[in-house]
Amino acid sequence: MNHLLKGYHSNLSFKVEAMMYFLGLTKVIEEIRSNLEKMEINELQTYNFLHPSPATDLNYFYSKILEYLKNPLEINRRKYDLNISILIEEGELPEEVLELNSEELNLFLNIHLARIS
Amino acid sequence: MYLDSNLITRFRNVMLGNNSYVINMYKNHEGKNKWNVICSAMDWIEVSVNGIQYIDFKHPSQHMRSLNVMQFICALDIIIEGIKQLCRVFQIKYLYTNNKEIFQTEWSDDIYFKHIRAAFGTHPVNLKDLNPSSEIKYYASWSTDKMGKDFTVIMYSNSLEIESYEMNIEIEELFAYTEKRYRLLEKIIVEINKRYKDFRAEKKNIEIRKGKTLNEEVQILLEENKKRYGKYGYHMELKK
Repeated sequence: MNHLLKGYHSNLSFKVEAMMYFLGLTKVIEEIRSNLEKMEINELQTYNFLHPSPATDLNYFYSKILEYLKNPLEINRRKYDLNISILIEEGELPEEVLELNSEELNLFLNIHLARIS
Repeated sequence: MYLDSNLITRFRNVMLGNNSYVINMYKNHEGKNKWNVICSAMDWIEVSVNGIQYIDFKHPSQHMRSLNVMQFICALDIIIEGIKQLCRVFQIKYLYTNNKEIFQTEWSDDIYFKHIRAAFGTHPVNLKDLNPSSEIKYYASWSTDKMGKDFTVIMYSNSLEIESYEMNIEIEELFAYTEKRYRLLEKIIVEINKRYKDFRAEKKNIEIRKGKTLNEEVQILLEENKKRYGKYGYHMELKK
């Protein structure tokens, strides 16, 4: 969540979608708080919201992009560029994503994946 | 003859279970990473317990039988050293320092076992007397199963006055010696489960304050998660 929140700022082009997504995140926060207070580590019922995994054949391409955003090694950069291009060509992502910085893109992709999950 | 492999499996489950309590408590304990000692001991005890059943005491080559006896004794030694390390790390009393029950010599079983280990494989060509004040050196023959008990070495000395003598071992006796110490894992399992239960009871039902913003909420939960589980628990979800 920490990393997701870093993608937010007041000039964000998808600010409304981000605010809606953060409303959903409060449920995850409440569940974690409750489990910590009970000293229980259970799989979160809200897990899919935090780790959206839509039933799409394009999951692989998304995972490679997210992997690079999480761990931006130069060696993975080519795969990242390639997979972004594929998703734009497929009409899955708008071309505007190319203008987002890595933290904004990470947030955008999570919102997008949560929506299509 | 074998050692109960379920015991080391149960032990591993306790070390890795309890919501990562052990790694969280011992990865930085009194300024040292004691989790690494635990892992090493756990791994090698498991290797030895599961591996010794394949050691071939009846191999057609006498030389190989000698090496196999050495390997067997070294494997038992690893188990015992592992147990001692675990007792030290968890500050649980090792009960058998002065015990003489198995080998029934004037020395403790632990000291006598080290002597067996040295004579049957780790230092056979440069052996000290069991009596620490003695300066006599001993040299062992290869081990054989053709003499007294299960395996025997002849102990030769550098003294002109001392006759050589036989040193015998029985596999069953070595198992009994090891089994007794290996069973200390039961005691450690009970103790760790109790420590986790106490820790959980201490932290349970402590109300966690709420933040004013989402960002503050996440920082608070990260801190509270750290107090309970270190970098485990919900750390990854909160950091993501």
